[in-house]
Amino acid sequence: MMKTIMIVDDSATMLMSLEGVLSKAGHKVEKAKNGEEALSRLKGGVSPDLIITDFNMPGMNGTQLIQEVRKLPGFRFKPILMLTTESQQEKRADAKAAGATGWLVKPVSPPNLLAVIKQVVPGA
Amino acid sequence: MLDGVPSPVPRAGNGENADYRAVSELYQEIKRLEHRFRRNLSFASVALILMMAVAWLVGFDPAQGLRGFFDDLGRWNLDIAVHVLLFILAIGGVYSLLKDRLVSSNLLRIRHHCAQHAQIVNLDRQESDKQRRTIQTFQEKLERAEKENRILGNTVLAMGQQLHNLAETSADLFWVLDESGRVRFVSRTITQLFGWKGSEVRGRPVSDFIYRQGKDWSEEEMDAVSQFLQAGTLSRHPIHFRTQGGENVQVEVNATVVRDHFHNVSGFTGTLSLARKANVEIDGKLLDLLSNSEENGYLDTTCALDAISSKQLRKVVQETEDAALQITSQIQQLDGHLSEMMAFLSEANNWTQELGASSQKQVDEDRKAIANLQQFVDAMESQKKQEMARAQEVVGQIQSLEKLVNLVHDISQQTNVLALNASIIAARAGDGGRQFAVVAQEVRKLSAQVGDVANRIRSGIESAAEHITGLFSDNLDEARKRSSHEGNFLSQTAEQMVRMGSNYSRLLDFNESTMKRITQWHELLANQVMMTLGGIQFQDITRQQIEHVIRVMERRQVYARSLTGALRDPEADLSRVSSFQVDDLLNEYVMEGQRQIHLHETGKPAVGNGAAGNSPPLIELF
Repeated sequence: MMKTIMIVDDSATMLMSLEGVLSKAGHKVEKAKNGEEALSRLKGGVSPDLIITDFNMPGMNGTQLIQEVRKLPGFRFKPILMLTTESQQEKRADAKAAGATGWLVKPVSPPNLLAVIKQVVPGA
Repeated sequence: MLDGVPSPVPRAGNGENADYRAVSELYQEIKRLEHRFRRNLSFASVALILMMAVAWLVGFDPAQGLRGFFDDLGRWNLDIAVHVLLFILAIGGVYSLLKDRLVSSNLLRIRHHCAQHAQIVNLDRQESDKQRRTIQTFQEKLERAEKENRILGNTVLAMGQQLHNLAETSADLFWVLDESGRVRFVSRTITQLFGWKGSEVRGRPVSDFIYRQGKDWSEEEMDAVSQFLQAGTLSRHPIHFRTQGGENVQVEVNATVVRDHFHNVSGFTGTLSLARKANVEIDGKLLDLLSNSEENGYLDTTCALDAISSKQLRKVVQETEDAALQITSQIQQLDGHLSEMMAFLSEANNWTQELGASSQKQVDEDRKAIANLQQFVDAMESQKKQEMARAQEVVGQIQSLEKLVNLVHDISQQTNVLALNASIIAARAGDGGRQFAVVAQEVRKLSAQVGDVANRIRSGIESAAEHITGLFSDNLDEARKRSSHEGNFLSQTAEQMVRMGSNYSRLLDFNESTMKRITQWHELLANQVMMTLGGIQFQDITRQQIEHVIRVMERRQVYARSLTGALRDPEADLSRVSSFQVDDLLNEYVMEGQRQIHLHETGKPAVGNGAAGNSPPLIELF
């Protein structure tokens, strides 16, 4: 079923690539270039069914973004996935503690990504 | 004779100072003039005195002489002539006296000026002597410095030679401008790239060959120029270069400002290449190396090289991003075309199916029509049979009539015989039987007529029977032939209908299976498109890796500069040099692959994640 997915990444290429894959699979896609933009969009009324975010971004990093999102009403249990090249184990544990639903390493193959989405988003 | 003027007559030197010579010559000239005028003055004065004396001796009274002159105005006399002459001489003497005063005062002024000038020239001479001595000491210093720099000079020469060779063989254009922007040197490549001969370009201002939008320099161009002059280098600056054929070709310029020892701009040099060359400009860097002739040039040039390289790398990141964008848009276009194609195919398929269905209906109807026709034909045949049977009945009835006719014929025969008998009897009876004989005669005629009629009826009946039979037998044959033809034709047509019907259904089946296969391929293609779009992610990873390399280069620059500073200062404390631990980089890596490379290159055992051989899962759900 069609879901709304928000992608947060400072790389224009990543946004393009993910948008292409997800919209081909039939989902609606929202894009944000950094944590601040994502938060303002969420506060402004955009209500995605899933958030996919990068870890290394200018300003707020991914874990901080997750912390902020979890504070917003209605987003306490929304699935949030981290999609990043970051490989340090401590950072992975931090994200888990902050409330991330899952951790994916770039590059992610489209079938794998869609399978994960099916698993974490109810009704996808 | 003329006092008050100091005359420090400068002696003409050893031919070294032209000024001196000119001044002293002028001075001599003035002196000569002065003498001449003094002579004139003396002459005039002496002439006047002599004149007065002579006049007095000859007892000349000027007053009387004048009166006498006017009285004797008509007479031409030697006295008058002498008087006139003396008068002229007197005027002349006075004039010359006055002039002399004027001239001598001028001369005085001129001589004054000359003297001053001579003083100045003398001072200058002293000054230039001092300068010469300074220059001499400077030259000695320079000779010493030159001796020390001879090795560098030889190296530079060798490099210059190499550079020249490189310039001539390089695919890029090598150029050197003087400080006013005129072309001093261009490599031979200018002919290959743009068609100009070297002689056509040398000596001309370089702006002659650069295409500009407007007549004047734009804001951006002025900014670029001032940035260039400040930074000292320019890298891959795009401009349009005019070819000999009049076209404007897009090129990229690398330039360096060349400065002399006093840090003044003495020219510009660099390379020029056609746009879109992603290779590193080695020629420009060599020039950079040469122009950096400061003492620790080598360390500085490493930094410069790093700066250039990091710029190049940033360009790589930008270009890969652009390329990724292009690829994505092309994939989207492809996807769009695929969808169009699928839509078209589905529509075509629907149309074919509808057509097939309607054709099937048509075929069924046709078959029904044919079946009806068949029935009709059969009905016709049976009807014909019935008619035949009836015709046979009629013939039978007619033939049974014949029996009656035969009976009549018999009766007539018998009647004839009776009549004959009667006539015989009558003849025997004599006269009384004559009327009877006539009646018997009449009866015989009558029976003969009846017999005739009976024959005629018989033949009529026969012919009618024949006629009917013949007619019907003809008809029956024809009808049988026709009905069998029709039957054949109809059954053939019915068979064709059946075949057509089966062809249609085969066509429909084929269509359906084709559509299924096309749909499968479309799904495969759509999947490929999705995988390709996912593949674009490479650019982000590349960017991160390149940015890390740039950071390493910047760290190296900092390290090199602090080293340079320490080297320049002989009393430097090397512990002040900022420490650069290669392994510090380990903390900055993001990707596991980077860490592995680092550890492998530095010969250390793998630690952390890679140690046990199991790397963390690529996808983990918490």
